[in-house]
Amino acid sequence: MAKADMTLEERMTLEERELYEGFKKRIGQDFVPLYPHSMFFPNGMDEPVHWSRIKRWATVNGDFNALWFDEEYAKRSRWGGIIAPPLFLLAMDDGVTVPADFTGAIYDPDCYLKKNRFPNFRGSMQANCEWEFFEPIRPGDKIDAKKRCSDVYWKQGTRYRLLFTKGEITYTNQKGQLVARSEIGAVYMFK
Amino acid sequence: MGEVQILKRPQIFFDDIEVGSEVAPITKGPCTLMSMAKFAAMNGDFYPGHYDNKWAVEKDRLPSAIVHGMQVTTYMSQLLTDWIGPNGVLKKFTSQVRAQTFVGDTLTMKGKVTKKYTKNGENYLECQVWGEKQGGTVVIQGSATVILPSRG
Repeated sequence: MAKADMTLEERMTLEERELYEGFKKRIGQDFVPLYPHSMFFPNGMDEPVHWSRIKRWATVNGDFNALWFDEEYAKRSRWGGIIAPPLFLLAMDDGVTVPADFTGAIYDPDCYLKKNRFPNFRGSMQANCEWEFFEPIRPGDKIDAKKRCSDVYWKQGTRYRLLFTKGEITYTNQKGQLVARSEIGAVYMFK
Repeated sequence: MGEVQILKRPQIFFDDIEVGSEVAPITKGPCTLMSMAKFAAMNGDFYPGHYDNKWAVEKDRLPSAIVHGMQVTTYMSQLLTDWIGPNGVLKKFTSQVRAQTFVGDTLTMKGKVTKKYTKNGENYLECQVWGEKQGGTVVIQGSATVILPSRG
């Protein structure tokens, strides 16, 4: 059968199918990383938010908004004190999101591709990224993150077969308030 | 780090914005290996292709190391937090990376208001947002929902 006539499902190699079906089985379940990789390092979700980390995150991104730096100024705003920028949650990730786990499955520990297992792999990119914000994050807050694999599917791209993975994260704070929700996906390109 | 200016953003008001209003654009970059390495240190994603040119060129066959999609996304969220002022609220934010950003690229983040409404006593604006690099290639696009105070 010519390659063009095969469906995306039929064109999976044995290893690609194993990976794909392994992830599909985990959809909807609480996410537990199976392929931790040293390229993603734990970022201290278990520590309370420290103002120094907020300042470092903002500085690294060239974001010098006084709301993240100036307590007197922030006190006079609706927030009543210093808060973290909305995407500061990226600086608290413990590195084991669904897309990261997928990446860990494809790469060797020293970041070389597992070429023997995935000879068709050509690279990956961030796909969708969706956030909803409910409460601000303040210095001293303790954030808890619940993760779920929300989707895994193939799509035919113009050049490659594309494998999309998506993970949902629900963030709550020490008061039990819903702080934010995200759905972040990555796309893996296969010849 | 040298002298850094902490910025007190002006407050904009719901009354002054219309559908079609522009979100004040911001420029980020030029992206350097250093800014990319710093982001890796904060985000915890140390894939070598993000801060090692030799790796990116040899292993990933790219022109240079590439900026984390999440850093470009963070830049795009700053477009909104800069614009809404100390009393605005960012409620929702979605984005899709459309093209890769390389060492030396400068990004301009832009936006346009698409909807304006009041709901449950809060003033909402919905915006289309996107980021371009020098030369015009769109590297990221998305949407955002913000709440703004009114003058009254």
